[in-house]
Amino acid sequence: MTHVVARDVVRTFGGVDALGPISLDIREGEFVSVVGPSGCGKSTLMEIIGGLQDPDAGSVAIGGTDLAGPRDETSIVFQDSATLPWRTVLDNVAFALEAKGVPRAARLEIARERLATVGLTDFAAHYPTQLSGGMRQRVAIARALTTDPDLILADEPFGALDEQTRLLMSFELLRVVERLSCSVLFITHSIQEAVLLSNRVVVMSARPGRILDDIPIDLPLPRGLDVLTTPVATEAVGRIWALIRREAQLAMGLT
Amino acid sequence: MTSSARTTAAETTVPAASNTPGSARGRLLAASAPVLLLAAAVGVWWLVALLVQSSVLPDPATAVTRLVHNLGSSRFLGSLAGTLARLAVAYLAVVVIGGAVGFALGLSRFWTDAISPLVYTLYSIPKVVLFPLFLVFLGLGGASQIGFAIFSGILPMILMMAHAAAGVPRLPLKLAASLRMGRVAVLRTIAVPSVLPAFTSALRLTFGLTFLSLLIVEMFSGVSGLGYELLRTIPLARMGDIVGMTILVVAVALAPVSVLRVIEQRVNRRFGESKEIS
Amino acid sequence: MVLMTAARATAAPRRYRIPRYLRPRPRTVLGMTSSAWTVALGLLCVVTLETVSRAGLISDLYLVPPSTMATRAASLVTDGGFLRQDLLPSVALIAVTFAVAGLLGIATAYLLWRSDWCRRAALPWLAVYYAIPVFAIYPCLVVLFGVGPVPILVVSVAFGTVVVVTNTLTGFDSVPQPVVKLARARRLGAGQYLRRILLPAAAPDILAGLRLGLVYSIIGVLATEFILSTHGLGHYIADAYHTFRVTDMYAGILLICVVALVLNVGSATVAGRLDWRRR
Repeated sequence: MTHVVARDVVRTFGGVDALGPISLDIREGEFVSVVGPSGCGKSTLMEIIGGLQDPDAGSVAIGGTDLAGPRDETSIVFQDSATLPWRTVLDNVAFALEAKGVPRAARLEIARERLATVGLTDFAAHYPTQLSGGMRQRVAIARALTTDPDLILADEPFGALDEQTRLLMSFELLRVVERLSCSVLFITHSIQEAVLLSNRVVVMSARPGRILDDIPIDLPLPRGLDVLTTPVATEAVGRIWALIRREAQLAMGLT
Repeated sequence: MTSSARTTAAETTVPAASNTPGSARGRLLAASAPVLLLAAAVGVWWLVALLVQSSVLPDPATAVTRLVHNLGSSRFLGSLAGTLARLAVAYLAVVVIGGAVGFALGLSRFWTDAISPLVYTLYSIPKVVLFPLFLVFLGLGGASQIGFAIFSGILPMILMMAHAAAGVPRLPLKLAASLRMGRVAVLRTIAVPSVLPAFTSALRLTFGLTFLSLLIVEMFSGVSGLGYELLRTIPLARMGDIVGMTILVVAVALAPVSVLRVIEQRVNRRFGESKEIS
Repeated sequence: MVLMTAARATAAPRRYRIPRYLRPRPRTVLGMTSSAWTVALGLLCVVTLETVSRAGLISDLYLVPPSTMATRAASLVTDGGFLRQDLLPSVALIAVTFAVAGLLGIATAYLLWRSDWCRRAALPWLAVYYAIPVFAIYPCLVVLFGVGPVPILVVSVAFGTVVVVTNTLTGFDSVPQPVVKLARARRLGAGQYLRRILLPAAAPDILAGLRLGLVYSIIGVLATEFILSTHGLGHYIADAYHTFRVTDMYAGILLICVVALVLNVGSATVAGRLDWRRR
């Protein structure tokens, strides 16, 4: 069943077309990655689906209902983790539940559980500044999982991490969402990461961002690093890379 | 910066505090350096006073003796109490009113941009020349002095708080919006903690400005108060008294500021300089 | 393409309920930008003062219309006696204070930067320095040197120097590590390092410090003149107040405000030109 339906979504900033018209469907439980040159409106698309921005035209429906602002069952993982430095790791994870009015004891219990899921139990009493970038990002993922979402939106969550940590984190995320069976919209600029994680990869054009290609990745789950060397994966990576390179050249005026 | 009290995780990225000498002896020396400097300054003063042997340059002992003597006089104690009371009222108003107004203003970016240039203009002129206006409208008594002290302290308080509130990082606000948090909850859990470091700095800075302004106007128009006592002694040319009082003024200024500085450092450590989430 | 434009025209965009705190800052309110509001609100204050005092709502013993202040201020700047007795001494004292505070401040910062011990010893005192009402030493100095330029200079320099020191020190500390390493690899001497690396790298912060130093010099000179002196702008206003010359007092205040603003804007422009970080 189709979970997210975005139809002809357009966004302009101060008279400049930033995004679209763009249409995108996400089936239930599907992991969709969006790649594209920087500034193509990937994050804008995500924020529109997350209900954080109004589209200037078009519509978004999730689970059959028209979107009218942020919804409870959508969790967002932001680029720079958005941890609150004055709260302990545990309190950061519990923050989403606190915002929804869950009593303290109950929310701390759930938070501890999710913290264990991302392997940070020992750091519950630490402050975010005492953690590495990768650990902070795990805190943000744990927080996103506390509210039992059916849709996770992730905006380059591993963008600031080094290559090794990024791959390790990707597998961790994949493991977690597989268990939860929720849909994921994953914004990234790493082609390999997109191919590794997704059921489908959507390639966007330079500004105003439109969909250039929609590539299914038919690889079995669970995946390991070795999938990147399979023919399916190498072909997909090559196809995406060619599209992106052309777009980047266009954007830089190099054609 | 991390405090040594908190255990640091193995894979943290926080660098160890730089410039810290490793050895315990070095650390002791570093901690005592400011005290040594003060002792050296007092020592030089004492030596010069001994060499000059003049009535215009009293030695520290004389100054302190005169101060203790003056503190025995009920009129002087009354002056001191008066200044402290006016300072307390003015500072309280600066903190409460200035903090609230600045914070409220900062919540609207547009009005912060529109109004803060006017406040800054007012702030950047030498305010002391505006004191006659306070005398004209509030009369010669404590009201004009308190009013002027508030005026001097409240402008930077408003500016700093408005700047801090307008600069609350967007990412946590997006997070809050995605969780459908209400305005009050956002203020409580995000905006207020975000501006706390700026608020504690403003607490310290505005205290100095408020006290300074109060003292200046007491010198100008007072009939009592520390500033008045200082100026009154000029024709008498009793340097021991003047220096003693100056020491008292410095002590009155430094005691609360030292406390405020400790609070500021604590808050900064806990609430960060909000760079983590910007 | 046809389909797309049609969709754009017909589909009325849904308005989400985005909370106010996340909405972007509006460009205009009631059709006016924030700068226009700044000017409008400023003008409103002046016009209100003008009407209130013209209408006689406040006695002219208390307040005179801004237009009257301006006229009197204009006649003051052509008045030879005022120029010689009040404006010139103040401007001269401010200039000397600023020069001394600037040089002394930068030199002190260099000393603190060179010597770790001095820095450790001085830093806590610098941090709390402006909590101390420096003007409290003015009476001592008046007794020592008599009423005149010397006590004013000493107090103003004491007031203006420290802000230069702290800002310059911040600038010296901001030299990037790779540059420090490069200089070490090139074996630059202390003098060359100061001239070629330290001063240019710290220039924006030093300029910021000097700007504040100028503001503090102005405050220092005017405030001490105001408390006790026989010449100068500060004295002029105090004297006008004591002898109930309300219009003169307001004219003097207005003049000082204008001079302070011009110096402020001017120094900001100069600093902006020289600041490589903003290029």
